[in-house]
Amino acid sequence: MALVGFFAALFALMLFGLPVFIAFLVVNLGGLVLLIGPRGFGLFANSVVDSITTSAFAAIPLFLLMGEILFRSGSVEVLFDSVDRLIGGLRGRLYLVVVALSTVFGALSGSAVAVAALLGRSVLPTMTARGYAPGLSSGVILAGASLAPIIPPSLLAIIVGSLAEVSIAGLLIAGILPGLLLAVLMVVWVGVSIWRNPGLAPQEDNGKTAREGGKALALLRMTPFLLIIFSVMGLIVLGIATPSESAATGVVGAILVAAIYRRLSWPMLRDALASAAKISAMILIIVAASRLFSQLLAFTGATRALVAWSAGLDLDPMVMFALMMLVPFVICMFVDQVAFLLMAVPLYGPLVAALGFDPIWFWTLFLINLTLGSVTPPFGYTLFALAGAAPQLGTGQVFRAGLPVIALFVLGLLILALWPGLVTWLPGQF
Amino acid sequence: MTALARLTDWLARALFWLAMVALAAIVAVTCFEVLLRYLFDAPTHWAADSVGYLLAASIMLALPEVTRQRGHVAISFLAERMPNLAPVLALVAALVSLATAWIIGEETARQAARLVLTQGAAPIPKAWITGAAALGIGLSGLVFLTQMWKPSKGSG
Repeated sequence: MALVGFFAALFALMLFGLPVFIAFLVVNLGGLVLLIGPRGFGLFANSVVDSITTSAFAAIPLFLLMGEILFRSGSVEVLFDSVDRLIGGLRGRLYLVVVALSTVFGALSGSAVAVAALLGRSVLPTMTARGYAPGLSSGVILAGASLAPIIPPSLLAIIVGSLAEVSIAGLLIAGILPGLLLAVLMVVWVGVSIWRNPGLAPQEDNGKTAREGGKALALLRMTPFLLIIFSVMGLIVLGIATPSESAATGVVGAILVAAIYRRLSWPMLRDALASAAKISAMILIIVAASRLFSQLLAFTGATRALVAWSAGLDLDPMVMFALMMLVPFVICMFVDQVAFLLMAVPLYGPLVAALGFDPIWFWTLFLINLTLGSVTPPFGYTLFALAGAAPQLGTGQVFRAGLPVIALFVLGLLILALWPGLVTWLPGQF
Repeated sequence: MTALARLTDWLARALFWLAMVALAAIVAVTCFEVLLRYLFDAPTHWAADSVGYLLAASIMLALPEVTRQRGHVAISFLAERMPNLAPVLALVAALVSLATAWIIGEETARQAARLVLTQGAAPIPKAWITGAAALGIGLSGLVFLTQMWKPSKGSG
């Protein structure tokens, strides 16, 4: 009963448009007064302080800063141009460029919403101007942006790892193969779409105007980005840096890359710092405000009751798994991913343990599922981000573009659910 | 109210600069620690704790500016269809923020009176962190209050 009450109040406050962190504050403070009384306020204050001083969360502003530096310095444009040259000669290559860019730099902007807005503003006008189909272009951008919470460095993986007490490094590394699998599925989808309807890709891109020369140069221009990959994933894998530390070394790598491309400037760094500070404050204040929520749920016995109730259902673990995946898929159509994550982890954590699921496998699939909800009409956040960034498309067209992406990600989830090794093998190697 | 809005705007911007400095300091401290540990085999005892303190400063001092720019995550589809709701939401957000700041402020005073230190290898007075949280949320509350009379998007 308490569980229903807490969740109903939280949803109602959020749906009325209160900032998510305020909604959590209302429920937590109200819950404290009802359950413990004003003497619990000290507990609340300390839960806020504990959250904001958790050094693992420092990775969030640092990864954001790394992405901001790369985007604002124009380094990503260099990468876009180089990948374009490398793929050159293939019909519909800009679709593949978007997939490749999203795969390599999945989480640079911190979230699928940010990547969708960015690609919608920067890449989509280029594609439509060159005669690419707006529908498929939007779909590829939505799909590519949805890799952000999966391909490391993933901000959501860091939050899940911290809250569910699962290895953050393990979760980050676990995202690599599923991310690549989804990227391959996207390439196949683009290929099949163009094969069935050649009009989706412009004729002039059919190898005739593609820049044939300069592939070696393009490769050379891309090499500084290896510095980023090494300074983030390389240092984690070698055991030199923790995920938080690798985020800081990634920032230094991004500054070096910007310097190599002669795009380093004080105004750029200042703007990047400002943007990273703002977005991270936006995310982490929700984390801080919600921290007590899981303690309140545990205090009322709601978490224990839910686990007991689920166990009493005596369902097959895979049916339970499907149900546990269905919930975020539906709710993330309406609710922000981080907000849902903070509600779900305290409830799902004990269930994952009780059902004997591998936590790395479960939470990786959970993250993919979260991102899926945000490209599902009618309220998917990523859809709104793209519709807002590309008003010429219209919401209906963006919504339709999201449908094949959902099918693609559901297929990917099925593959990963049936072959858990695709998720767990790589983290097991380190 | 205009005077309050001007004051809160100025304070929010000033604190935001400090938040940016704190973020830059996190990068510097973390890289310094990695260098010392792996190149000179001489890890510091204070870097990990300092990153936590700087993170707290960065989040809480940036909060009023995020509020000023109306940048908080919210589900806006209902509010967009009911524009009259905006001042009510701003008032509720202001009251909740100010009440939260009051609660955290009281805890700050208690910690300061008892000289409570943070736990860890490099302890500092806990009231510094708790106080920054009270300041950030309290100033955000005042910014929310001024937004009751400013229905349009913030100037950014």
